[in-house]
Amino acid sequence: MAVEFSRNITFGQYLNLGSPIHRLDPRTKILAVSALMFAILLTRTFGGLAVALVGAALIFAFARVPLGYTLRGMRLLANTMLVIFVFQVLFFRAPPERTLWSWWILSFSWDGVFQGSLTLLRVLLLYYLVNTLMFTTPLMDLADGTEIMLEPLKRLRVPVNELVMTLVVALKFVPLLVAELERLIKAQTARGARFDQGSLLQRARKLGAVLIPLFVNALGRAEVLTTAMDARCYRGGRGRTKRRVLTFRRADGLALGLALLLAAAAIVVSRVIGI
Amino acid sequence: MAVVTRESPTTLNTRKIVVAGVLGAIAIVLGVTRLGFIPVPNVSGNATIMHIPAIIGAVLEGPVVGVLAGGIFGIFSLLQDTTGLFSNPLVSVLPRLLIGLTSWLAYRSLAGRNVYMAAAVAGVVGTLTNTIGVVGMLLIFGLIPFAAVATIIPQAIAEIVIAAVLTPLVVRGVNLVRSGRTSATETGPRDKSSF
Amino acid sequence: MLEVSNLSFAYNAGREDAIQALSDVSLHVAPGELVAIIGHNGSGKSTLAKLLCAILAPTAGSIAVDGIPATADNVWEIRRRVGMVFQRPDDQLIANTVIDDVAFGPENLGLPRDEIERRVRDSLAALGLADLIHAQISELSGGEKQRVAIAGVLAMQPAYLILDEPTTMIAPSQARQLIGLARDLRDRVGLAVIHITHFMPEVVGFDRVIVLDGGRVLMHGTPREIFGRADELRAVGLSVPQVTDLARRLRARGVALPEVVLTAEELAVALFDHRPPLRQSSGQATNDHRNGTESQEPGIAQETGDGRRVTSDARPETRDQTPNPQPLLEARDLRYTYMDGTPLAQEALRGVDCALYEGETLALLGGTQAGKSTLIEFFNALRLPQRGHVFFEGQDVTAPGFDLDRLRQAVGVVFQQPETQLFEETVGKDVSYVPRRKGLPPAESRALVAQALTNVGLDYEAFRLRYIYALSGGQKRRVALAGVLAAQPRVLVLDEPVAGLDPRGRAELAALIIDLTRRLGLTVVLVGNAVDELAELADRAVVLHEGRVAMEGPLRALLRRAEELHALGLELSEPAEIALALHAVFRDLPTDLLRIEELEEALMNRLQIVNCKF
Ligand SMILES: Nc1ncnc2c1ncn2[C@@H]1O[C@H](COP(=O)(O)OP(=O)(O)OP(=O)(O)O)[C@@H](O)[C@H]1O
Ligand SMILES: Nc1ncnc2c1ncn2[C@@H]1O[C@H](COP(=O)(O)OP(=O)(O)OP(=O)(O)O)[C@@H](O)[C@H]1O
Ligand SMILES: [Mg+2]
Ligand SMILES: [Mg+2]
Repeated sequence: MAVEFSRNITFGQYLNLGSPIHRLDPRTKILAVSALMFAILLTRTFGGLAVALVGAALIFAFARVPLGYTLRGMRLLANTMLVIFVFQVLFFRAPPERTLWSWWILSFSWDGVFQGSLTLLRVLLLYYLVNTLMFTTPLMDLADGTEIMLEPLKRLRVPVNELVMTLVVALKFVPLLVAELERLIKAQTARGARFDQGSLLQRARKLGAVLIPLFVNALGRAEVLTTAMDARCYRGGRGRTKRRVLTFRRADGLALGLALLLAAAAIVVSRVIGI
Repeated sequence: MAVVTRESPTTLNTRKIVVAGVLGAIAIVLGVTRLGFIPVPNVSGNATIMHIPAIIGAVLEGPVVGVLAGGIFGIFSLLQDTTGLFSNPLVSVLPRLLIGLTSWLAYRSLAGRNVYMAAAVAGVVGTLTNTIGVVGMLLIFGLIPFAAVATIIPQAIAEIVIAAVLTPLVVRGVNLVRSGRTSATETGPRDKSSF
Repeated sequence: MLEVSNLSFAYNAGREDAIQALSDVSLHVAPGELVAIIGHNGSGKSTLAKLLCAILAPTAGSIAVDGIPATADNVWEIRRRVGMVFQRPDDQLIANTVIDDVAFGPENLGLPRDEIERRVRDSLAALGLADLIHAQISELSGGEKQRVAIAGVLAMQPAYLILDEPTTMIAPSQARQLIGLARDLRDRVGLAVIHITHFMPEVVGFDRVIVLDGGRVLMHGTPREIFGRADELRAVGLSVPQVTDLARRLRARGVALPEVVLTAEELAVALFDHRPPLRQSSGQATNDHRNGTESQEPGIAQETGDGRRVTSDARPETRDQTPNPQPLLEARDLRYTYMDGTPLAQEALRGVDCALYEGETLALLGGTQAGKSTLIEFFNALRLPQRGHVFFEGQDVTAPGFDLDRLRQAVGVVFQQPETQLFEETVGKDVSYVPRRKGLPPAESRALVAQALTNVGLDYEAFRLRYIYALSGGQKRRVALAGVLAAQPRVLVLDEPVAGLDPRGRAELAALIIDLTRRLGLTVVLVGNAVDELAELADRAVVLHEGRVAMEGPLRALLRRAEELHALGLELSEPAEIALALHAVFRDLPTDLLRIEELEEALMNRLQIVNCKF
């Protein structure tokens, strides 16, 4: 029964656990995670990923977020990951002498399996980093951190505050709309509807029956929030100040330095040393 | 009716920020609940409808909302990448920004004739933008071999069909509410109706 | 001073589908005044509120706030001075922690950092939220969210605060607290509060009341003046507080009381002179007299001479006497935890044992978050028990081979706020959903739809093609009910069916449900967070508290344990609450009262004793 979504949804959920990672400056966390992500993207070897893994392990050790909780959100995604793994394996073109089996454009080789595992590990690491960032940083800290870092763009007349606010609104509405969707689906299930059956078109139409009220209700709520923001004098970034003072402490310097070091090491290990 | 109502299609006011945010939220919700993924028979991949909020935003509210909603969808797929293919923003975000633009152009050029036909076409165009943009970028960056494109085609067709069905349905629903009409007209003979 | 003169407003002004929402409204609110605006649905209250804080611009007439005219140039200045809080807490909060949300307004005003910090802390303290400053908004109750919304407005230091029906979505006890806090703010910071509401007891402490009807000011005066005109109010779909009504009834029967009584405390004071003579002088005769009159009424507790109470069966006449030995539905040691195994785990059911018998009407009561809604989702297998058991006709629902569809067919559930769960476009389509899904022939399906709509008091021909979104809240609930009835269930579960409606809609729907339950002979579960007008239907009540069954028995027997119910976070019926307040005068006044008439009789009995003596 796909009635209770919220159980498996961890996206954007902040966990107030008060760990050392929680106390870091959001800018530190954003930059550190970005650096590690960048390194992981450039990494083509297990050696490099192992270095990045050290970074993730350090974060895990300090963040106090149960591993099971982080991976819970992945449950729903396990299928896709499996498919991608198979995809990677079958499409990998190993040199002919190392190919064990091939048919049309598909082939199988241990090199392919190796490549697939590499991708899988990479995905897991990226997923872990991004989600841990969200679990340990309140939404508004992330928003303010991003906005401050993008400050220079304001000179180019990029509406930074407005763009960040769009994201804030989106993340604010996610749990509300999940609950709304849950209610709609519950009502339909209680009246005997099944969402996991039927042909493609039938499913599209059934989905329509959920999506139309979802869109209509969501747009209605958007009107209310617009009015509420107007009433609270929101007029974009113009003349807006911030309550939050972001302070870069010694721990931040340490954490960021370590992250940059690990990121650089991962790239070097992978690209220069090649293990 | 609001006090400040001077606006062009490209201005960014509070209402557009909020509407884009809400539509982006729907895209994320479709993603996190997996409701936005419809398994296509006999094919490995799932057809997705996560880009549809961006199309609907463009059709109902113009290009700015469409682009912003698409951007949120893109950022979400960047952050929740489960394939290893989307961690590059040029793959995951850039094509999604274009969805709002192309579908708005398609809708605007046809809306004069028939709103729902235009919405369906916008759905198709937006979906094509998404698919071609993402696959093109993947190819450019060498993230998938050219041969793999063949396997994506059934999924792409399924997505086009679904978008062509869903976009006008939702647009019609929203427009209906905004029209303030109170009663539907009888569609067929009364004695064939179930109600 | 907030001054409105000859204000008119139309939506879609100038177009053919223009809707005249306000016509020629003039009023004023002085700084520090408490003004209530009442009026039934669509009377223009929210429109007026939006005009006052410059969200909308008048089509005619003028508004001035502290001498500043509300024109396009002064929009921000007006909005800073006039703050507004809306009905649904979830839709108006922007950030996801308390402190960030409260800071949103001051940040928009471009205030310096320490000033923002100071204002945030002050306004949170003023609303009793100091401890929750870093809390996640998603973890707060509805009442707390509304207080955060008010704090967010307060932090902008407005001179006028508009509350647009802030209490409809929250529990009664939280609503009272909210109004108390709002009134506090006037005393503490001199804020003028303009409170829009449907609930009359909320406005009794206000300085002035403005009654809107059809976009015009119908009445204007102190609560005492307004509630003295009960008949006029009733004519426009409004009511007076029950205690006012009670005092009026007593007056009509010759009890000397002031013309308008607004609170139970006031009534207690007024009745003090009529109180029964002291213990030593009363004696046997009065007790006999009392028994004599009360026993004419079935269902009211009787008191024996020595003061102990004996329960008469709650409603002996309604159901057959022999209870079915096997329950239709039964939960045994049922446990459920949301988000189990995560840091966000939320224990909702902690071992519930309860049963539902064929043909009975069961009231499932409990304060907010007691676990009521979670429990009923097990009744039609929307959730399956992982720990504990649910039995349907003696069969375990998790047993292999158990036909879940049979259970889902048998139990129809109307969820909380059903208006948000209608998913088809038109009424006819929504109600015919189950018949169509079952593949019934059109004629048969039409008959079911017609019958279901008629049963919920909607005209079949007039409503079958109506769009869902164009219905009022009360109508939507009826459609949701009809949709469930069209599936021909054996058990009907109604989750807080009348909560959040305006008084007229509420009274109508309650009457309809009472009629329906008696007429159709279904097994019914009525979920409620207070002993309300529906509760009197119930043969039996189960009180949930923190995921367990805390009390069980005939409703009137439970009402006699008023303190215990209060401790469980449950509101008593309004007559019972009034009776409780009158205990200062009549110590022996029963609390097992469901209707105001019963309280009236009970009081008359006691008063007659006095009259007899003197
Ligand atoms: N956005 C809108 N567009 C068109 N008409 C509207 C709009 N909002 C309200 N109306 C209409 O204006 C009238 C007054 O509505 P308003 O919301 O002010 O009433 P209300 O007294 O607040 O009612 P309620 O108790 O239901 O909140 C109603 O007839 C309503 O249908
Ligand atoms: N989807 C959910 N996810 C997490 N926790 C939930 C969810 N729904 C309910 N809960 C929690 O379960 C507990 C019981 O909630 P439930 O809704 O069953 O109570 P209720 O008695 O119906 O309350 P109300 O009067 O507010 O409707 C509460 O603590 C609530 O916070
Ligand atoms: Mg209103
Ligand atoms: Mg509930």
